[in-house]
Amino acid sequence: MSAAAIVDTDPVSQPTASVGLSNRFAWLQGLKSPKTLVGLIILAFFVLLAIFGPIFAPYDPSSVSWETLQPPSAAHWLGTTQAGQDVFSQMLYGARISIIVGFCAALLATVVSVVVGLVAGYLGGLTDDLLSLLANVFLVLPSLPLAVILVSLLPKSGSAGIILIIAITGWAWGSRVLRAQTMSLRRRDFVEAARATGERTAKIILHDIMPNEMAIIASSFLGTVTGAILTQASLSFLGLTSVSEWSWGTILYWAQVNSALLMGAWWWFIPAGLAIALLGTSMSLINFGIDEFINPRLRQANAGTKAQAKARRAEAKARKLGAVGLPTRDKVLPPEDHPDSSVVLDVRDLVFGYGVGDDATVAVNHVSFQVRRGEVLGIAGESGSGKSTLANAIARLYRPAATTISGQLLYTNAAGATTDVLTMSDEELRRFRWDELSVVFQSAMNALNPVLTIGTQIDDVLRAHRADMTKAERETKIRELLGLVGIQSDRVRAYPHELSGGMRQRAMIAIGLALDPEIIIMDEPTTALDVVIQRQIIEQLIRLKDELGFTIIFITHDLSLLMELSDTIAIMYAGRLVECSPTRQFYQHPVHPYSQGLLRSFPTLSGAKRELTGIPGSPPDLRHLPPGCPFAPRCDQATERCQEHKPDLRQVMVDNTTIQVACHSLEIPTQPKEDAHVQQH
Amino acid sequence: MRVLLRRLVFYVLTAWAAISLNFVLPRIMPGDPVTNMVERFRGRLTPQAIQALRVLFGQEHSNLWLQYVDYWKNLFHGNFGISYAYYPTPVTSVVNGAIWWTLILISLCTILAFVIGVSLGTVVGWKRGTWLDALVPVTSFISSIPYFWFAIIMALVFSIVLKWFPLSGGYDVWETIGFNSSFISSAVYHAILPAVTIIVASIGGWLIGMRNMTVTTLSEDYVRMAEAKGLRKRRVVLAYAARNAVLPSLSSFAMSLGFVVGGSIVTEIVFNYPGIGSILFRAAQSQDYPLMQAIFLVITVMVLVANFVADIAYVFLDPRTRQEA
Amino acid sequence: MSSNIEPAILSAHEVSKHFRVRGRGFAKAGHLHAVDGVSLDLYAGQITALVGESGCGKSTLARLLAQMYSLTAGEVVFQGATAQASRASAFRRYVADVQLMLQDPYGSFNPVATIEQHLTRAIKVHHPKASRAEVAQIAEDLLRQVHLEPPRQFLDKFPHELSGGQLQRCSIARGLAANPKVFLADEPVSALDVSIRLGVLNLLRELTEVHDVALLYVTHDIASARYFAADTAVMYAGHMVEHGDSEAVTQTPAHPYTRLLIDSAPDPNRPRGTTERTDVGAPPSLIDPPTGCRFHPRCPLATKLCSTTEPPVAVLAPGGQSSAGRPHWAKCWLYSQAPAGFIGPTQQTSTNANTPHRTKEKSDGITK
Repeated sequence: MSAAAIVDTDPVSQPTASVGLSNRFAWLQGLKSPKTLVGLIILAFFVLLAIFGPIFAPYDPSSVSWETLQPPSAAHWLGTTQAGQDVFSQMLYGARISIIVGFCAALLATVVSVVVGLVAGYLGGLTDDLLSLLANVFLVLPSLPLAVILVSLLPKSGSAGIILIIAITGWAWGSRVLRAQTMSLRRRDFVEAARATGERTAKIILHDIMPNEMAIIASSFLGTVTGAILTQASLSFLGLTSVSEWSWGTILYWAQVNSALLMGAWWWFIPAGLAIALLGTSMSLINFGIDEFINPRLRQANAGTKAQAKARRAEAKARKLGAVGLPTRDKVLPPEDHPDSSVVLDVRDLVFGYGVGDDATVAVNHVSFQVRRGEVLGIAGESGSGKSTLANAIARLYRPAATTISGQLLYTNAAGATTDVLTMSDEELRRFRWDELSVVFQSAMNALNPVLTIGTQIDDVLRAHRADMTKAERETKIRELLGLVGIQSDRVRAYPHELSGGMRQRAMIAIGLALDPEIIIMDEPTTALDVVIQRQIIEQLIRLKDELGFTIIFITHDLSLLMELSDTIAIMYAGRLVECSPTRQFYQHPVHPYSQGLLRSFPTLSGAKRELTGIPGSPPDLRHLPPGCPFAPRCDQATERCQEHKPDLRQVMVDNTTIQVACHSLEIPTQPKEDAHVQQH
Repeated sequence: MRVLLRRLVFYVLTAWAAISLNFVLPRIMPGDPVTNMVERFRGRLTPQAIQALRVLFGQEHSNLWLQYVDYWKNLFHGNFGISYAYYPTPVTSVVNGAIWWTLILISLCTILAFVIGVSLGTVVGWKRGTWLDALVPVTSFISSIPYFWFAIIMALVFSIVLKWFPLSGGYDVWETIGFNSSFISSAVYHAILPAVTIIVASIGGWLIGMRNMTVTTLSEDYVRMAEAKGLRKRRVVLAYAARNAVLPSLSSFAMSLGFVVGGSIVTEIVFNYPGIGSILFRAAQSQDYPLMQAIFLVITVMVLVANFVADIAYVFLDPRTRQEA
Repeated sequence: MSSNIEPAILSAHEVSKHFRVRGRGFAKAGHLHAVDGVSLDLYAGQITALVGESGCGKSTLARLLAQMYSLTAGEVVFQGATAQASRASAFRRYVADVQLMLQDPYGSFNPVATIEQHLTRAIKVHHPKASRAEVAQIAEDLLRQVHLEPPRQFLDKFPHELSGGQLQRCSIARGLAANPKVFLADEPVSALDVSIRLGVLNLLRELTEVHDVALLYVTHDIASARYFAADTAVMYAGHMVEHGDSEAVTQTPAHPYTRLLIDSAPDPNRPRGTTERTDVGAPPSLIDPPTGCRFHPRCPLATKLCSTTEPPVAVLAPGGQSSAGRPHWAKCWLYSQAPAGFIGPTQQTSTNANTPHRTKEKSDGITK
């Protein structure tokens, strides 16, 4: 056993506080929206009608009378037909047949599509090939004509036959959706984990796959009900079902055959169609709720509506406040306010929050720091530390809209003019972004438009910002940019999916460099890449920086990468900046207990092995922060004061270097414990 | 274009499956369809017609394979037998007289509905969170209406009450069918109401689908990136959001198209439009099986061709499908 | 086997896995050579690290050892017998001894089931006769073993209510339900925050020692292998290229690829700008892999021989100290031509000296 010096840490940690809502039925939450509720009420009304309607029907729907073609009256609420039959009674009886046919056909079709979808998706291979082929054939065959053919060959045109035929023509879509979903679930780790524990296939399908598809199954069922009712109505309207069995479609059939339209007997045909349409609408309304559950982005789009309006107001307010601090825009601040012109970005007391009520989260909490022209500022933090929010806040690229913003983001351009980014108008912002500041996003695969070539995506930037450039000039510039980042210029016409992960990230950097910006914000640009590719890109980046002289704000969770790369390191924890110091200084003497813990967490390759201790506990939930220092629960040096009061970020002299740190232990400056971390270099 | 070739093979296979289904169905259905039909048309069928019926339903040879070969032979000669509903006109001429009306009406309406629906969907999706969201439940109501019932309402309002458009037919009866301006304008005039019905009724599905996809696409990183790059709104919406959002709409074209075609055919009946729908109605009334199966085959082929066109558009819009595997 | 080394509990002998790549339409079907002729031994109570970049076949190898995939060639030997787990019942018996643990803590739990349901299912597979109360008791014990206390507080939770580190502990608890002899951990801490990783790794180490379990630690982070594993094996493009004591592999890497990997890894101890390399290559396509040494298209030291013939195993001198008594070897022609200071077998037929298992006898005399 090789003796690595790993000291065990106290691993016990509390479960994060969170609402303990059962997840299996969480999609039923979607039913709470008003749209869905209306849908449910309509649906309930019709179902009751189908069950009890015929009992209350005032007349036998088929019995003829002399009162022909009567408009609605007290005796005949919906008037009468040409044969003197009561339309209202026909509607009540019709509800039963239409709904029974609709639901039974949809049930049958859904069962078939679930079985086919699950089996094809889970088993894959030849089974999948054959079943998918079958589903695709049924999908492209026009269902109504197929149903017509089937019905006309049916010996008896009773409802059972119709149900069967509608199910046959209607199962394919659901099975296709479920197959796709099953395939993506099958690739999920928890299914593999279940297989690895030796579970039986049937059990995995029932326990792991099915419950995760309930929402889609429900949605597909409701959609099929609408389709089935419509198909039944169409078939009845064509006279292909038993014309003496009353359904809403049959009513319309008799109305059409007897030219009700020409006779102006609107009461004869309006109720039936309206009922079908209402029932269908109720299904789609319920489906909206389910859709929003399946696709959380739709939910955000709707939920964001109110918050967004509020946020816009908050933003406008923030701009106004900023404007107070800055009497005139684009004006150089007085020297005493801005002593150092080498500072390109001065972040002052930035606060950034999302959400309202219980979900309110302050992701960036009173953060202040300065970035010098031409330096690499590294911002490190764990997941949920607010580092990405900070990046987006600096670029004002926040989504969903922030609900609280305050502070200043003072940007000084090369000519020495200072502006507050937070107070910029949309058009100013549009010019600022990319001319002065650009962003390299984390995942190049997601951040590049899949349907446009790399060249076009660079060209878009040039066309938007450099209107005076000719096509040939832009072409030259694009090739030059690709050359800079090490992409062969013949790849200019390549689409993102044709490039490797490393090349895509290089393309992202080329787009970022297109307008020769002052600052490039890089949000985990190499996290998804392997170390060798990461090394290639980082080296290229440093070369370019030395050549072109831009400033980099580099955000990552990888502290060891940051230490090689950056001039200054800022550490974030729970939305706050806890330490900010020159990299060498930070590595040799981290001051904040969290920084010390981080440095004792990652293994090194060269030199002798160090003692690794890690940090006990887990990062806090931003929605429920402790009253004092957020790190106090995990800190071995915490005192009572730390539990109660949040420490401010303040400047401290350590080893003749000014650093910023937010820790109560530093208020009576002490030398950090030498033996705690570094043993050698 | 290997993808397209593969799709083409699939459509040919599907067409074969549909045609074979058409052959198999009457043979596996319980009862004796020929006897049923002969009884229904008591005395009106000539011996030749009954013979043709027996060929169609496979009572000519006992050998199933020979029946199948005969069936294909007939198909290639355009011989679908004699229509009972339009007795004694051959099925081929009945279908031939109606197919063009339907083809032109439905293809134009489908394209228009798709373009309008997708454009509106983009706008509603882009402006999410504004009053335009109210359009969503309205459209879902419209798309739940049976086409033919919507047609009746349109006819009631615009032909009977307002008298703006003719109630029925595809052209004025005194016009001669041909390529002359008065016929064409008459045909267009008659087509407006059915066309508007089909477009309005089918727009909703495209609109909602596109709206949801646009909303989903807007939260993609590449749209955020496009905004960050300082591009003009128009460019962001068209080249980044809509361009990607339209792809699922195109790929679900198949299912929607079958639905639209089904709905449109029934719409024709209401307007007494001289297309496939009206003859299908008549065929259904008189249990004219030869005519019905010919209509089924013709519509299937139309839908398959349309799907192939949609596939071509998809490949054109999505470079990822062009990648050679 | 030499007497001073206990036999491996689980071994892969020359295993290969080729995935059929679907030729879509008329495109020709091919085979993805995910793993080709790889051998690896795991020993009770010992941690072996398997290091490589994404797509190098390390996860596939772990799944081959877990019998989750069928072998294309070679054999997996468990406790001296060839593992045959093609039948469902045999597979269940096998997984009771050999457990696979996955990377993504959130992904490896069904979002709609509680921790208790997950544990109960795993316990029932391996203790089918346990009563309800016994199952509950076992579940609590398992959570205590992974230091999640009090257990009741965790049993009722849904996966999304726990942190990544806690979930990964639950994942270990689930694996322990079978009381396995071998743990195959596929990137167990890669998805976790740095400050959390150490706790989970320490737990795994503790279990290895307490239960005398063999642990395969699959990772892309070679620095963590140095600290955590006794032995380290390095894979590149489906081949095993180097294997040895972790300290030896990381401090005196022999294979040019291992060197590239180590030079590329971020290391704050290294001054900035000292590792400038010209490598701009990328791993090759495994559908049509390069002949000879698969690293040769990128290798600065490649010769003609490298591009034609696969290098054999070359055991390196005891300069790379081996605490467990197993040799440090690399598959590279640099060492097979026996330069001064290195002793290696000169046979160049790959069938002979390819497995560490067979070279062991030879090398024992050298290292001991």
